[in-house]
Amino acid sequence: MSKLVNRVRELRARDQLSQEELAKRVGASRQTIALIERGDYSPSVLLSLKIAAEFAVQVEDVFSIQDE
Amino acid sequence: MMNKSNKNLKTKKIWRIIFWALIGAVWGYLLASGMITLPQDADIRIYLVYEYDLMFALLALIVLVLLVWNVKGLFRLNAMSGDLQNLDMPVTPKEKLLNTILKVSTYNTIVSLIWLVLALGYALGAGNSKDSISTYMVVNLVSSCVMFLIAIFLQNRTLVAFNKVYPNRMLNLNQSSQKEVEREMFADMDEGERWIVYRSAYSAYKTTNKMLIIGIVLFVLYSVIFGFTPLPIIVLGITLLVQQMAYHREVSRHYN
Repeated sequence: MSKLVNRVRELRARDQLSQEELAKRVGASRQTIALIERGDYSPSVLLSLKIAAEFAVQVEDVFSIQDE
Repeated sequence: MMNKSNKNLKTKKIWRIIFWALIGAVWGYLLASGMITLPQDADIRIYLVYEYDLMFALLALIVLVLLVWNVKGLFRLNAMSGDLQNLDMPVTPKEKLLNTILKVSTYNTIVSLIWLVLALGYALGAGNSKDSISTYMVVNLVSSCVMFLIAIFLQNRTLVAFNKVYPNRMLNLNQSSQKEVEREMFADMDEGERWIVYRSAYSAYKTTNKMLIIGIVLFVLYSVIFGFTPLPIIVLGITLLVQQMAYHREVSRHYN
């Protein structure tokens, strides 16, 4: 079985952004960013693209699939 | 390895079904054979001085506890700072407290409403003439009414606090239509928040399903022991039916 892993927290720390700031910039709520970072929620394609654009990286550099 | 654990699970399920079937069979036999009988003069109403006084006292106690909890929570909430800027957690302490107060306020409103309608039903019930309405009934009715109004006021205050903590998702308290309030609130949510709502709604649907079936079974047992009472069984049955219809209507809207 595969699961989605992400580097949102790592990239946020790189850019010194809080969850609140990232959320505002991508048009989401802080709770959603927290859910994504915890791996509880898989964002939509649109939100994934927005997050990747905010960090100036490709989507694949933020989100990837890991086999369990 | 997966197949072995699946087999074990299946075996456990089968044994569980057999166990409950045995319990049901024994209980059914005892009831049908007449080995368990209620004495003719048994008075199973539990009360101290007046009829149903313990039930109303319990409701009053629950409402009082929830009311105090709600008020204390609102004072604590006002005293807390709400700076979210540098907090990196899914829920800040202030939001956690607000969620708790929202729940407490909702439960308080529901329980006080139940108290009020029970008091009303008891005071104005069939067989009660105007003269037979005692002081106890009047005090009960007035108390429940007052507590219900206080619960409504506290819920209003809680919603005002909600609007302060979430200024981007303010609930319009002046909306006359409940439907409009719900639509607006949902429209302001982002995808993650909607996902939480969907999961919560599905969990509530499953729990309500189970509770309705349990309620129907309990009222059947009640009928067996105390005499046939069709109304609660019919009401719960209709509620179960309407719930299923609402669920399937929503499903078919998206599949057709």
